[in-house]
Parts: sequence; structure tokens; C-alpha cells
Amino acid sequence: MTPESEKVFIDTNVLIYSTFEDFEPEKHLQCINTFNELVQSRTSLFVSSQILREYFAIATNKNIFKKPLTYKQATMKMKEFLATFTLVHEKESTIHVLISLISKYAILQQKIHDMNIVATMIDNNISHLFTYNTKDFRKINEIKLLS
Amino acid sequence: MHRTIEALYKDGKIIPMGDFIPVREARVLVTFIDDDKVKAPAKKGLKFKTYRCGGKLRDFTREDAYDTRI
Repeated sequence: MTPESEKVFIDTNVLIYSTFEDFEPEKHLQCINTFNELVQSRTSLFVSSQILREYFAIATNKNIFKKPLTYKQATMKMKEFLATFTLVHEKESTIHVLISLISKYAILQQKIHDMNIVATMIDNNISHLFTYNTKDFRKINEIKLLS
Repeated sequence: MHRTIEALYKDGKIIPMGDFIPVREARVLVTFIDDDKVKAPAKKGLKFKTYRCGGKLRDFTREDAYDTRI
């Protein structure tokens, strides 16, 4: 668990697992319990518009879920997340952080989306990422993982 | 001695929701949850609205959010 003063950024996969009780039941329960522990420890929790867009695109995908969310359900969840977490923004400086990270880690193609999360975190002084995608983030030295 | 903890019954398994079950055997009472909307675990903290997706067709990755973007 993180120290009280730490900031934690929430990744899209965590929001998906927390939404669907029967997609990955054990991860669902883990997410809910971890959220509760973070809230009780007064940890600050953050998302960005990128995370909410990805959440919508995945939660409404009928190729992933037998019963995906409707657009009304998905937007209601997005509002719930906005009411619960602090929304951080990409700033003018974020693209420069992203370009530096791309060079440092030599990333290609769709991995830029992972790296944009890291750039947003760095630019907003957020130290920890709560994600189940540890494989792609483990090598990034600038952040710590919570999973 | 009787003690009650909260757990989820799923596909024949009982998954504790936080508390460890400190015995090898226990009598279990099952409460059926509504099929479409499931309440978040009754713990202090966040109260998220949850849904049942009816089953997993495949895993997802972040790329699923962008695969037909361009």
C-alpha cells in the first residue's frame, strides 16, 4: 500500500475490472478492496481524459463482453469516476515529456498510449500507477506500480 | 462460535471479500444477487455501481480503445 501522501493514477483496466463483476471476478474484488483501502488511507486518486475515453471504448465493445455497457451506462460510469477521482489534464509541457520518454525507451506504434499516461503522471507529479498491465510499465523508471 | 464474513460465490468457488476464512470448513448461507446490477461489496469507502457483462468473449488491451481510430 502507498504512504498517505502519495498520489495514485488509475489505469483503464482497473476501471473496467471494477465495473464488471463477472468478467474477472477475482480482479473485480481486488479492485474494489484496493480502492477502499486507498480511500481509507486518504490517498489521492487521479484519472485523465485519456483513461475515460479508453474506458468508454472498451466497456461498450461487444467483441469483449457478451453484454457491454450501453452508451448511457458508460457515460453514467464516467460521471461517477469524475465525481470520485481528480481529473488531471495534459498540459502544453506534457507533449515534450512524452517525446523525451519516447526517445529514452525507444517505444513504437500503439505503445505511445501507455507512454502518454506516464507523461501525464510525470507532468502532474503523480508517483504511482494502479494497473494490471504491469508488463508494459515495469521497465519505466519514472513511476512506481501498484497492482 | 458463530462468525459471519462476506464472500462471493462464483462458479462453485467461495471468494472472501477482504476477510480471511480462519477454518477448514464452514456452513455457508447464500444470498442471491440481482442478475443485472450487483452492489459493490459492503465495505466502507467507495460505492461504485457495478454491472454483469454476461461473460467474457476475450481479453482486452489498451489497443482495443484505438484499433479502428484511423
